[in-house]
Amino acid sequence: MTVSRASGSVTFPASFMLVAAQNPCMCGYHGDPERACTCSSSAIARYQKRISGPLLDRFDIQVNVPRVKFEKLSSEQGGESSETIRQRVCEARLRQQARFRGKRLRSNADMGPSEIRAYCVLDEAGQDLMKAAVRHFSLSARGYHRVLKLARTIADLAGREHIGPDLLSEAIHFRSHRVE
Amino acid sequence: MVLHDYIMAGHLRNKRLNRGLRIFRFYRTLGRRSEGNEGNEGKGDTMLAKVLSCAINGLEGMLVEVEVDIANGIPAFTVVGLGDTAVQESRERVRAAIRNSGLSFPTRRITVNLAPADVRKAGPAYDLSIAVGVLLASEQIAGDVSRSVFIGELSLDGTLRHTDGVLPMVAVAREQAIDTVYVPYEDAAEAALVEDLTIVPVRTLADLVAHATGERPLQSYLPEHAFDYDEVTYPVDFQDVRGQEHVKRALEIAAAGAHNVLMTGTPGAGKTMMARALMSILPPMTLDEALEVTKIYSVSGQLPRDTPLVRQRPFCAPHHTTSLAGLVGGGGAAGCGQGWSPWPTGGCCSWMSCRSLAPSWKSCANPWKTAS
Repeated sequence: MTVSRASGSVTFPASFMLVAAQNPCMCGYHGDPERACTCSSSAIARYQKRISGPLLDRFDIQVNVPRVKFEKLSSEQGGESSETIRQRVCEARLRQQARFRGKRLRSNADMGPSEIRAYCVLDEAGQDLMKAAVRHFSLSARGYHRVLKLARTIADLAGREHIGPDLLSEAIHFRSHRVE
Repeated sequence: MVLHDYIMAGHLRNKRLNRGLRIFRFYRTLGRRSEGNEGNEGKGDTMLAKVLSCAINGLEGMLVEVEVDIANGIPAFTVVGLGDTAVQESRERVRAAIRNSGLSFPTRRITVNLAPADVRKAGPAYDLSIAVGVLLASEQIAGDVSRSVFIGELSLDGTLRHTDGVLPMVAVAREQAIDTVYVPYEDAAEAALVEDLTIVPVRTLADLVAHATGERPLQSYLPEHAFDYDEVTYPVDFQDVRGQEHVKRALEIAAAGAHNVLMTGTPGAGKTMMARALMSILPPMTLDEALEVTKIYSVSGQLPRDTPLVRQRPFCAPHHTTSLAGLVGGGGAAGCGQGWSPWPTGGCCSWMSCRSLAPSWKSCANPWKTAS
């Protein structure tokens, strides 16, 4: 990214992954099953509009984080350790590196339209599903490409060569989350 | 009216007087110089030395030629070549450091040029090269320095201080086929990240002079150990997060493909905790990535002294009220001024609760695109 100031402009490397967290409304409890939200509907709409459309469109994964139940919270059983998850992530990245060998790409998120055409091929059932998703969620062109890239990553994690409709539907699911 | 004329006349008279004085001084200097030249024929009394140093522009280093000319005339010490205040003040540091190292500072007309003269130079990293140039030009030391680079800030007592941006400077030195780089002692480990180059750690200016005269040669730096990716520790582990299996799955996918994530949820549900835990599942950085991140830390002066190579992906959590300038760096100078935070390269960035995000972000929708 290039920073221009009075004394000149300078280009810095700026490759990053954005993880954002937000509340669903001003009081924070909209959609919560246990605590009532005190915001008016117009206040909620105003609050949610604070993330602009263009910005929202760039989040490949949108996910709701609900309240944790007491039983889960107090249970002794933890989930998987980061170590185990990291190994799966590394394997998926290795598959991507093998695919992008000789190119200046590092991960699936960096893919351009030509790479998407080459590596994110859908079968017929996938095509139908995608068509329905674009229509139903009124996906933008960028949104369409991002869903395909996400599906590619899910396939890489699963260690599969082809993007089946099951993987694609998970990618679409991550795209369509929004508290109504 | 009368008073005004009177003042103006006085002013003009002073101006003329000053101008006359300047012209007189100029010719007097010229006269002295030519007299001197006649005196020592063949030898000449202006002496010139050229020493190499480095400038930083953004993250890229650039070789700078420090030319030091010592001539007869009214004693003066000027530094030209678009240096900032720190560069101008290096005159005082160099003068004191040379004196306090048991050497003599020539009381003659010293001109230092930092070439190329159209590139802005900032910071105290030129101190050592200017001091070496003065010592060479005044023939207190001798030697061929055409394939050496000198980097370091001088203290008044002649010791070399830690200097920011050593890594990118040494990297450019290797690109330009330089043999030896002299760096402050405490920056040697950082400089040694660049291979195929001799790094000479210098403690004091006196040590360097003893090295140049062959009295006490300095040892070049040998890295103590090869760079192994020893266990990096993370603040939060996914094991500590109860429930939220679908969010963990989402973050795993995000880490696998470097996708952006937006988490929406009630306060206290664990959004921030999981964003922090994301660091622990990202693949370790490659050496190239680590070097690039280390360069950013080095230039911005935030490299921890005891860790020459940053192995952990940088994580930065800007508050939602931060401004654009606060995020990418503000002020008059483009680059890493004071308080500039290392840009999160190849890492992850967490935006806490995007309350007032929209207005300031609308205008910068495009910077999302990563520059490679």
